[in-house]
Amino acid sequence: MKPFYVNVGHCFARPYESRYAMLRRCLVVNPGVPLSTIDARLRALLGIRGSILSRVCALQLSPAPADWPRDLYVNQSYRRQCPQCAQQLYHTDIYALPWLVRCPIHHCAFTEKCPVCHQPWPDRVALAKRDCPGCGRASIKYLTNLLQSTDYRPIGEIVDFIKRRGPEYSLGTGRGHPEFINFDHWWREIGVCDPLFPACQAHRYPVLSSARMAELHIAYKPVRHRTTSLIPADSASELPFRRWIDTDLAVYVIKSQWYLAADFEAMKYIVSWIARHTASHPVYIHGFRNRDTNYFVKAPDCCPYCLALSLWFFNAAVRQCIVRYAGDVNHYPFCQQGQMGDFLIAREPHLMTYRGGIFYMAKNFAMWFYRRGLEIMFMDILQRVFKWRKQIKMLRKHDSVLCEQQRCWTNDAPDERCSSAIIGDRFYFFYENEHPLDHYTPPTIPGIDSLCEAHRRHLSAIRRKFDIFDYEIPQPDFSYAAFLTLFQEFNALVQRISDHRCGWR
Amino acid sequence: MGQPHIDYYDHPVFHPNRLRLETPAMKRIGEEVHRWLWTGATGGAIIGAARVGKTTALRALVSQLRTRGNEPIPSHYVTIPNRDQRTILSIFRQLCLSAKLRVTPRDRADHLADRFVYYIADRAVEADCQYAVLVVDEMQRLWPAQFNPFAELYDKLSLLDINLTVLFVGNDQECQHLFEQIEQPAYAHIRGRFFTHSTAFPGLTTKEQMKGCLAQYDHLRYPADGPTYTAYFLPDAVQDGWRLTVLSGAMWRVFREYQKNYHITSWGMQYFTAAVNTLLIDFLPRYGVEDVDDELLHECIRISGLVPDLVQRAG
Repeated sequence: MKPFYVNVGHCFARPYESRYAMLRRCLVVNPGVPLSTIDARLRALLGIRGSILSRVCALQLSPAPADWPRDLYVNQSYRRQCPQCAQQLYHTDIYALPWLVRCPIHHCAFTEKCPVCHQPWPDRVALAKRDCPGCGRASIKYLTNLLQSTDYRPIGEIVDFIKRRGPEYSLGTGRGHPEFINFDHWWREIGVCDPLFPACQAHRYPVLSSARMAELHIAYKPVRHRTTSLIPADSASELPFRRWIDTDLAVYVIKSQWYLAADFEAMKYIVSWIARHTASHPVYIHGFRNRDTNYFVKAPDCCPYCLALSLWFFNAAVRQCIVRYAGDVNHYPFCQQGQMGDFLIAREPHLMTYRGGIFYMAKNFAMWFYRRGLEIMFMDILQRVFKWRKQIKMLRKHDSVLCEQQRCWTNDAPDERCSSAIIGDRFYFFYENEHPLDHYTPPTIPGIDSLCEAHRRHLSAIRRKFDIFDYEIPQPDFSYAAFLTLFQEFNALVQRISDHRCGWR
Repeated sequence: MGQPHIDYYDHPVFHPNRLRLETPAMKRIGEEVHRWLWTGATGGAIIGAARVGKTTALRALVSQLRTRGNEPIPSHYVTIPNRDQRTILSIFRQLCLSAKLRVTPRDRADHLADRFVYYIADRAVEADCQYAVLVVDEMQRLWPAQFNPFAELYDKLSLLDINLTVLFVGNDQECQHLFEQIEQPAYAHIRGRFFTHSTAFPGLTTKEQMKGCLAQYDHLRYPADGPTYTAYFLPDAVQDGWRLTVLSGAMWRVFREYQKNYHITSWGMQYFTAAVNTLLIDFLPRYGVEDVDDELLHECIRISGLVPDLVQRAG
């Protein structure tokens, strides 16, 4: 190909514009030149790495600033545009933010279709072939109003609001030990596209007043927050939350009453929630250890609440008791076969700054954080169990391998979305609902009492002696004494499992 | 560190396109063009005899144009080729070709026009300037209707808030018929836009001007830290104090004979530099600086081509 000069369209450059807008500008100012031809020329000029978007961006006099938020490069952000901005060849990635409900410049609603040609906003390939003045390669006669001065400061305010970042750190859980082990977190830090982001960011960096946010058409979804002081790990005389003793003989150790109290609080809440949604169905803790998919296919339907609570309790209890036998105690082949994935883990939080400083949180916050993790952990398990039960029913019908469409577990975040920040010398944690379970409506299961009883009888008939675990949660009052009894029975089970293992040696 | 090797024949005297001599006409045309730009002129015409140095002067000038605030003005130079078919499309094609924009046989005139408009606009924005200059050389090859594309460029760039000034350069005798056509009412918009301002570009018209050009041979150096142009070819003579300007009187006297006989208004720079270069490269090194007579100078002027050309014009 004979080299040729590619016009860039500097005269139409606007602040904070997206790479899509830069590409559209490039196409407008090179009328009649196919996109593929422009791309080939730019590849020869700038190299073959990257996309045409990045190559066009490299031609700009003022490329995107280095501190442009990475998660603001919203994939397919062109799908949502302001019609008036589009007629001025303008588009910015922040228009894809779901919490930005109107154009902050023209105050009109975003659309998914061009108002001129009534077609969906074009992707970069369709853009090159479209001559529509509203969304495509507009001729110069349609661009006479582009040089009218437009105030892009509102865009800049929003970008500045998004870009604010505090000290960087890593939030994790694990033992209070410099060598942290981070398990699957029960929380997920939200990104800039999350509806909760404006409220979280406004709390962190109050650069925009609520009135100004309304003027900029930023939808504000309130969040809750809790805060704690940060305790340097070096200053902690001993690990604040638990003591553990690991010996060759002891299979369980005495744990902090603090942990047991937190476990009890969480379990009590969960049991009462189950009662509300099942008309006080009696809930049992069973041992489903070593059960595979085949067992559940042949057995009567199990109660999802009992199954979920059992899995939850065993996971929570074993990690408070003994790490050494965790894999044995929580050995669930049916979970692996059903590709349920790893369950979330609730532990006390810690924080590590990128300078290497390690901090714990105050006791009240840590306990609340841990309890919240337990509640979310249960909700996560319950949702997986409901999905998995459908799989079992399909297997009974078709008697075949797992259907492909059921393999992939996509767990919707059950109130895992959150945000956090260090402001001053305090840690802030932002979240939406105080009790995530209160905002979850499980599917109705008719005849749950008889269903549960049938499975319970089947389970007790085939269970091995050393593996028996069948505990009915006392209702309506599930007391701390009852919880301790449950915990002691669990310890006894672990002891039996350990003895059985030693017997095999 | 050794001196880089310089090829003897790399000297600008051997390459007419690289030989740049400042003449009073160039300085005057620079002042004139700046005056047009600073007073908001939309165009102008620069007319002169053939081979007088217009192209060289304008090519040097376009990179030196400044606003009143001494900001550089982006400019573009284009030469109109001689074609059997003179169309609007061919103008836009030539403009795009000169700017190295993509041109294919299937391109439409409006696409080519817009492509060139945006090219100029890009240059203006890069220079942070709201002005642009387009120099159109060999304007005598245009048909009157072919001036409309330049008006279109002006109009479209105005929409982009860029003031375009188009400078047309052409040969005075060949442009006469064009000027007569443009005088017609149908081309009033062209005349008013591009030909309100015009100026003549002469060659060397006085002995002092010619002496000034000869003095540049005695001052310009090649390479930058090397000998002067004169010393490059006549080192011994220059070391003895001889300078090329010594010949200015004799040369002008000889030229005056041709000027009277053939009614030449000025000494075109092509012919002047050809004569001086022949003298400097061949005759003076061979015969020495002491034996320069009128016959030698006549021969140099003859070799420069001034005489055959004038014979054709007189015929």
